[in-house]
Amino acid sequence: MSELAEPGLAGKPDGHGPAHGGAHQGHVQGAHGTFRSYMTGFVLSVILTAVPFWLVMGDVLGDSLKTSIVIMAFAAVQIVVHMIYFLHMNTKSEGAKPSWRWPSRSRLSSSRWPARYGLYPFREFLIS
Amino acid sequence: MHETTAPPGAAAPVFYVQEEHAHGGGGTLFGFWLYLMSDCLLFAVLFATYGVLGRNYAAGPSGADLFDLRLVAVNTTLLLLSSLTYGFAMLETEKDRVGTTLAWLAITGLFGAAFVSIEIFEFTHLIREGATPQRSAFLSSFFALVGTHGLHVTFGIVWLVTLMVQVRRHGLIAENQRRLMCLSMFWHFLDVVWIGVFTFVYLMGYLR
Repeated sequence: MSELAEPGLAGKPDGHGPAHGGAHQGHVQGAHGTFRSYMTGFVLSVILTAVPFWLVMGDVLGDSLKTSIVIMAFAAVQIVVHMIYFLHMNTKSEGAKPSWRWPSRSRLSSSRWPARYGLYPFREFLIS
Repeated sequence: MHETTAPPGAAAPVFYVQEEHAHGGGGTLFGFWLYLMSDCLLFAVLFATYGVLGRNYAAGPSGADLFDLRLVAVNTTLLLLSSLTYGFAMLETEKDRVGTTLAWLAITGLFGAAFVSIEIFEFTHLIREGATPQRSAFLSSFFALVGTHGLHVTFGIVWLVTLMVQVRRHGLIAENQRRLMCLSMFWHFLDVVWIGVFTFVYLMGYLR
């Protein structure tokens, strides 16, 4: 019974555990910006702020609904600019070990496969 | 004579729990993201409330009557500049320069303080004109949303000053770097919320 539960522990005995996570431990993490990236974000933000103020204060478009839609679009773009250039959001993880990952091919084709999982070939997907 | 586990004069054995600090702040930053997202929900609720109530003037003044967009533009500029200077402080932190880090943090704090001062000036001006939170649903939701943001900036300044004292006393140790990182996320997050405020509350309130 306990053997069946073991594959849930991320296949440590197989020796391909360290392939994930733990890549940069030991120092303060978090993505960092550069002078260039901060300036890019700032200049983009100034433009994306100045245009909506100009549109509203100068009544440039002459139609409040049209102006509303345009300034909302500018705000949405500026929020994304801030998230990328100031909050340094990206597709990398925050350094925490992922709690779940796709089972690797090697684990599926392990020689211990039939004995371990018996007649239920997709059991590993459910456990991991 | 009698057996002792440690010879007299030797220091008592000290035990460390290594795992507690092995992650270099990764866990803290992830946790802080969770906090920021909960804060985001708080602001989402206030924005939604303003979205529902923002046109209920109760025969009182509207945004077009009250808002001084030049003041809002100044405030927006101040907050944007403070985000930039905080970024410069983080760049100096990476280079391990205590003096310039503190200088940029001080400038950031001054921009933040100027922002809060202008907001207090604006609020007192509104209240003196009779546009109090009790006047209408529009003003209740306006003061709740903009006031909550202002309180966040205020506490951000308190946090900033606290960290400046910490950095001055202990230098740019790993703990202080982690704390500065958390505050930078908080500070930039408040700037992101302000984008929503000046667009959705001030500019769109001024349009109608």
